[in-house]
Amino acid sequence: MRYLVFLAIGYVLLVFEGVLMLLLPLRVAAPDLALLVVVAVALSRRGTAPTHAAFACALGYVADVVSGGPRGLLAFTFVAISLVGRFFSRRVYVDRWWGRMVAAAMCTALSGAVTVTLHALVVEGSTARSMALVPLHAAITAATAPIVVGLCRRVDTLLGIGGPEGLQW
Amino acid sequence: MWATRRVREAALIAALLALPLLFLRANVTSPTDLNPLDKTVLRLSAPVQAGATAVARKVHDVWRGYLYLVDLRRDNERLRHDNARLRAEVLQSRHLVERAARFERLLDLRTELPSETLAARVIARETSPYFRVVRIRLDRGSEQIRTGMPVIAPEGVVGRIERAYGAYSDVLLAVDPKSAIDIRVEPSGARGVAKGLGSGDSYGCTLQYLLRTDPVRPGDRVVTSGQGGMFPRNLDVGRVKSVSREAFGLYQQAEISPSVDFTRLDEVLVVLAPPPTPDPEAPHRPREAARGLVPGR
Repeated sequence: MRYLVFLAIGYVLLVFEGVLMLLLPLRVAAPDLALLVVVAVALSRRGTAPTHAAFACALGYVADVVSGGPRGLLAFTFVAISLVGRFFSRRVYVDRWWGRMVAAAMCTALSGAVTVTLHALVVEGSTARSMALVPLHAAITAATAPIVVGLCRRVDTLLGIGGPEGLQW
Repeated sequence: MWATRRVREAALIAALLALPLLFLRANVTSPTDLNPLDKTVLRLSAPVQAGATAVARKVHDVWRGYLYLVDLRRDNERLRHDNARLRAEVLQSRHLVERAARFERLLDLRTELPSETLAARVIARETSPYFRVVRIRLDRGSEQIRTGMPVIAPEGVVGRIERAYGAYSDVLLAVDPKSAIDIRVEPSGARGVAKGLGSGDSYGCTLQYLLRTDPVRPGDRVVTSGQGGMFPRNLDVGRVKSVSREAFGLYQQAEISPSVDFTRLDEVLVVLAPPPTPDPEAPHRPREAARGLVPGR
């Protein structure tokens, strides 16, 4: 149930992102809102690593289909990010807004690097040019992290069926 | 017990990492094939995106046309209200005029082209900065849409259909690194291939396989060559922005600015069939009888 709700949130954010990009008069890198949902779930202390990875894989696949990129690319990246986020959530306590921003920036940068590398391996393209975009993309995504992660936390609290442990972030 | 659980979790995680890579491998082998799951997601997403875009456009129009005027002085509220209404009407009229002009240009292009075309509206743009794909909604039946069909705008080449599903399609833009279009540079007549740069902060293409001896200069017009049977001939692709030559090698490279403003793409045309190939023998062939009549009698 919890993961279905987050999948729905991730999907709505993906659609919102597409519409936002269409209406913006200038081409700018949009924040990776779906990735932030994966990061938020990975940073929460509920669930196991495989369930987090399965959720990330499902949302990544939907993101692949919606974004029009090669299918499997974002799914793989999201699973990898979910595992990295899970790894750090066990060692670092991310609670403050700036902590979420730093975690989001690092995860987005890593996700960008993995996506660009895999994309260059699969499809012919300029890796250097795309890599140059990664820091900006990470910064923009990090700027929206407190809102999206906060929203996920609130939803998790509302869904708080897992007891007090489930609400620890 | 604990070790068994750890091993099981590790195996599950390895499987979840491998699964997307299998999808990716399948996608590389046949990028345009959609499985039932993809089709379901796309069929669900496209109407949602179209609806969300329509609502967002309405809100955007209301915001631009009216809401920003609400912070006015109270003493002349009525006058200002009228002013706002009139402004909104003017904006609306301008919007309609612009739209009519766009449709007119689209119609001109449609009548100029020797091929049959289908109008479509852009409903969403790419969500990842690493791909250049837009989603369009066709204005009528989609049975004729096939992958690879060219998509154009009055300003020039937009891209080609990458995937088609129901009344919706994904268009791979000419600026995506996967895109390659056979072009000709005017006035020199130099031939080459326009490939997308996939640059994150702007839309651009690079010209490849341009012979070093061909005189290509910044500002030259780049048009489709019509070769390859995909894009009709002489459609604008862009203008040469810069030319670079290495100290050695057979080819030179050039960057071009696309003629289409991809940030303002609204309506497009899908070219349903390639233009008929010109028959070079036609002028020399003797005239044949038609409908049972013999010429000259």
